[in-house]
Amino acid sequence: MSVSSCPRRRDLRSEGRRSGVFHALLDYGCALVRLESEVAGLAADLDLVYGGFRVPQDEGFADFHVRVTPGRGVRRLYRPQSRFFIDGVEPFDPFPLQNALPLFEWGVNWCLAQRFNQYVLLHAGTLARGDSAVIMAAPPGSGKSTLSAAMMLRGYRLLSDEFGVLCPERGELRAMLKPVALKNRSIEVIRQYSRDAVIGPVFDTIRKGDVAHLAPNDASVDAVKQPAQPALVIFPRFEAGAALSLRRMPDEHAFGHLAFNSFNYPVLGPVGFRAIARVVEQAPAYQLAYGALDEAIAAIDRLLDEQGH
Amino acid sequence: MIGHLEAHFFPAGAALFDHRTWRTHVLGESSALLLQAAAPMLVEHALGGQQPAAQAFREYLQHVLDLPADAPDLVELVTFLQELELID
Repeated sequence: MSVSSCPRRRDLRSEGRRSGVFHALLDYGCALVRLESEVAGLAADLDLVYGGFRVPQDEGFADFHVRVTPGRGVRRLYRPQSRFFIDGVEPFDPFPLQNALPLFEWGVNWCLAQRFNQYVLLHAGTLARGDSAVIMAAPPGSGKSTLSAAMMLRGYRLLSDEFGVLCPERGELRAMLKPVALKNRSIEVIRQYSRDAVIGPVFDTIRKGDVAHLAPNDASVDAVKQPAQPALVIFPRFEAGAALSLRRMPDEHAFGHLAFNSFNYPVLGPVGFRAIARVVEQAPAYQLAYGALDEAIAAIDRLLDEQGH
Repeated sequence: MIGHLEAHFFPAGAALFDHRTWRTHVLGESSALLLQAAAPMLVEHALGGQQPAAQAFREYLQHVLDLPADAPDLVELVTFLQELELID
């Protein structure tokens, strides 16, 4: 069965739910995650922010088997918790029960960052126009996720928000398609930006403040198995009220930023070195300061046009 | 490969990977130019299992690029390559 012929989650609301426990098999493109949970609120949240995801045929394999469970004993009643398990191990502290979705998202990111070493995992969002990929690399708080979200809502294909998944053999970027984690003010910015934005509930988290998840759109989901070639590296920085500014970044600086901020560069050694050098050869890097989302997207469009992508 | 160092030269600048320590180094434009000019000498010595002396390395680059012996970029590169044990 091809991916596009599988039903979407939102069309199968009761998928796999029996006696309080539900199962979900989520296809992120280059990873399959099997979730088992009995947290009812999580099922509803997943239906919203993973609504466009296809439900793949279950052939028994998944890269990660995770469970999100409610706290035990008195913790079911007093300050109830949600707990995350991977292969039966609980790697971090529980979250409040109502924050099961951020816990699941954070936990899966942790699993990928720890174990997915067949790829170079850049700390970057990735979007594509056709098969030309734009790598959005920047530290947290720079407006990277907000711009990625806006680009998806203006027709770019979202491959990933958090991980730039670079195949070292082929030099291409693969999808690790997950909901975009919007934080604080960017939640309302994106809500106002497009009426096509499907945004889940807002969670109050200790680590990141308010967090809400933007659902990947159907076009991104349907192309989840389609890789893209690096065409452009953008280091965005949002500055309220700022005029657009675009500056070419020296290749060796771009290399340093991509390599030293990668999740697993130290583990991969020469494999990561060659893969990132190839990206820098192939895709010119720019620092982009912006105050308006549409101006930033138009600038990225122009850069792709100028390079014949 | 320059000895145990894998070098990737960009139009300006370079990235280096040290296969002995798995450490990565990034060079700016002028240091990268010097290293690129010195690469044939370093490769030749590495193939013979030797490291050139710092003095010989300096003289080689002075000759090839017509540099003064105390050029800051050259002094810096010599120190850097000594730390990497590519020259004595």
